[in-house]
Amino acid sequence: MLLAIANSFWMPDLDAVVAIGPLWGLAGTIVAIVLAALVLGRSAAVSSVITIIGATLTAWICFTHAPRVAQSAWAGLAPAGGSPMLLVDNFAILFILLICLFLACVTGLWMIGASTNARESAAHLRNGPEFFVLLVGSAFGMALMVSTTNLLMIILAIEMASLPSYAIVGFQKRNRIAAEASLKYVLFGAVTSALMAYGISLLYGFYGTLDVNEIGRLVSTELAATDTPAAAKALISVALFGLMAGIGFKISAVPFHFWCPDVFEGASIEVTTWLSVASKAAGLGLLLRIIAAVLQPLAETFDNPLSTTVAMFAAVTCTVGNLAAFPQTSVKRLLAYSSIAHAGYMLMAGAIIWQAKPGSDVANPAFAALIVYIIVYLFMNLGAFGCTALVYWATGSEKIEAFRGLGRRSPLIAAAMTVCLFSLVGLPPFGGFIAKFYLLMALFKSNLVWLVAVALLNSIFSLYFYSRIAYAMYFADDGKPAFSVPAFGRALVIAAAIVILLTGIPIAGGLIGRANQFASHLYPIAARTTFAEPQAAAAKDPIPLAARSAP
Amino acid sequence: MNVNTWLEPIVFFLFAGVVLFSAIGIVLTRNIVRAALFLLGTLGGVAGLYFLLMANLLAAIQLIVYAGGTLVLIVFGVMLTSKSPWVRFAPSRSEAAAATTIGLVLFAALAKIVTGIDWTVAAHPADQPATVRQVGNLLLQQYLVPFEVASVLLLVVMIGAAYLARPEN
Amino acid sequence: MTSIGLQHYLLLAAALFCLGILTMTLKRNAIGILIGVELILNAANLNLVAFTRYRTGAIDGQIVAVFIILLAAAEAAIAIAIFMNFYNSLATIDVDRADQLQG
Repeated sequence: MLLAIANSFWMPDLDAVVAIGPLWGLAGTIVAIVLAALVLGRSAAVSSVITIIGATLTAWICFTHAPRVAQSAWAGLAPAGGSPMLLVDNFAILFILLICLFLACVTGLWMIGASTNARESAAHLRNGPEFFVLLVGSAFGMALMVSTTNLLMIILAIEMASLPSYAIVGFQKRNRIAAEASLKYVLFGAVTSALMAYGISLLYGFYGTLDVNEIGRLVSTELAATDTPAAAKALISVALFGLMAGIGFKISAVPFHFWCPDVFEGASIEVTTWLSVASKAAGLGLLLRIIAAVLQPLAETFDNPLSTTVAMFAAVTCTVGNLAAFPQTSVKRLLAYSSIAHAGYMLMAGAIIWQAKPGSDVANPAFAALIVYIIVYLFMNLGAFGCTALVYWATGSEKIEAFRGLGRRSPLIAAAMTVCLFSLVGLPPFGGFIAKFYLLMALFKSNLVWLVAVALLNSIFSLYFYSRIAYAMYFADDGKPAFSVPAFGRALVIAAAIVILLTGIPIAGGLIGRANQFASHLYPIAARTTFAEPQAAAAKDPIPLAARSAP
Repeated sequence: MNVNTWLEPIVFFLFAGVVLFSAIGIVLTRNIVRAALFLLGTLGGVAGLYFLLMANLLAAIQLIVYAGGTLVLIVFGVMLTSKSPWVRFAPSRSEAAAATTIGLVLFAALAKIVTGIDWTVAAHPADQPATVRQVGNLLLQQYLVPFEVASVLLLVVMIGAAYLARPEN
Repeated sequence: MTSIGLQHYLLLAAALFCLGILTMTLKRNAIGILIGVELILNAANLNLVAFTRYRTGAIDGQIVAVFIILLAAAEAAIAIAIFMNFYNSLATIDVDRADQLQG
């Protein structure tokens, strides 16, 4: 009897436990923060240091893992024959690495804020352990989002990322604006996650499996057999709409974007910085996986109206973001709309992927361009929000007027902000230009010329409102006294500006090459189950983008 | 053949009636306390349907966690925030008309879709309830990772909710 | 008597889904919206369990339903805490009063 019970146990093998090291790192950080608060007392300083150490350690684990998964992706953590629960490939490792680096940066920003004694960081200081448990908890959820293709894990990961985010947005309990922001955030999130649950239930029922790769395989075999009936197409559309509601909420794509400006304005600035990059990066990572596995074969069932749909969503998202940013007077809110617009640019890559045909290499530059875009976007937003935070802590205001005369009052901060702003527009020689250039090239190659035109027009629009801040900094001096900012804060934003300049020209070629490598690693998993032989062969031998169009 | 052939439709329509009646009640009522009570009806009816669908453990979980936990949480939420007058709780006539139209159209579309598909049904629909052992085995084998992630999620959510609901001192 | 099949459950779930959407659009109270969300989650679970019995054979759908119940509980906990927080600063949870942030 006892033996029978022992036999029914299943233990994951050691390989599997080691392979998901980065996730252990983040989960361990949560536990360490809780334990430290119990043993050493509730100290914000201790929790923030543990968070930085945990994020750095996890990033280091990612580095050591990268060579191991460079050749082939690892998928598993389920008994033999079961569908894999977690994937570890270069793609997941890259995203977790970015999330951890950004987590460390945001924690650094938090420490700077705490040292300046800003009014709102008082609550954060008193309740440091709670804040960091929630922050790392959402990072853990985002790491899960980019390393799974199981529908159950997807919904769990999105909730794991969202639920702590709701709480940290409303973290300043006395602040009416923050309370309102978190109310809107949680209501929007609950509604979209419910839609997603309904969509997933339909997908499960229709395909009888929870594995996205398996669904992709079924889609392609179904294609070979017969035409899909209209009702089935409609069901899949409803199910996909539900799924996309959940992901669109995370990346704030129109029409799931309404929460974004309010939440970004109401939350404290560290939290805004965190959400503007990490949550969107994780959402896009998840979207890429789903695209690679399912939507590509689906695109052919639908004779490609899906590509047009995504292209329209991207164009609308981008335009809405840029138009709404026009009249803003608060820099925080302006950057919130700017982040919606950038989500639109990044979504444009999704339209390309839907059009990829077997044997074509078009999908590859799209993925690579998107990865480059996300990396550059991370530093642009870190710099822009970092500068805004420093100005806010020094002057108590985040309006554009607070930036007047910054060129004289704090020249280095003004210079860093200018670099970030013009990079956000996409002007050369900054990183934002390279990111947009590759994206538009990929769009152009797949004959989405109208989308290129939309992107270019939008960039020209956006030049106006980003320039308003630059104008205020250099040409609208109101004679207020100069101020000094913490040295660490200055170092942070200047480092971000330098990275943007470096990615602009000097290391752009290398960056694209690496991004291409990472993007090609999205394929082995998808190719193994999704595509027929010729395409699997094509995926093994990606044509490096850098070789064809390096600057 | 046996009792089930004539009993099953009766039980199904009974529980489905309870579910629909309370869900419509939720939509129509203007009182949030009543809406929460109607939700109890929906949850209980759905639990009954789970029994009918051979998911006994899930029905028990539905009653214990959903009706016993989540619903009580919602009722507490209602009690603790109900002192405010419910300004504009009732929607205007045009809003109600528009929403009802949208709801009906949506239902018509969904109904057409789910009845339009030729669901290849399993040859023998399960006629034995899933045992607790089966569910437990799956939870600790195939679904071990989600199970562990759920524990981290609950820890983090507990900390977050406790912090937000705690009075500031 | 008609025999009960998969489509009966799917239709019921679709009705529950639409009623959930209606609840969310018609209620101005944050908890009312949350109740609408619970209706949709129940519709999803009903779908999952019905598919499990009539279509897939394996009980994976039931496991997903267990996790969705758990997520509903976690979500409700965070949401109610946030509502109380909002109520403490505004003395209402009418979502139309959440109008400080606009533009």
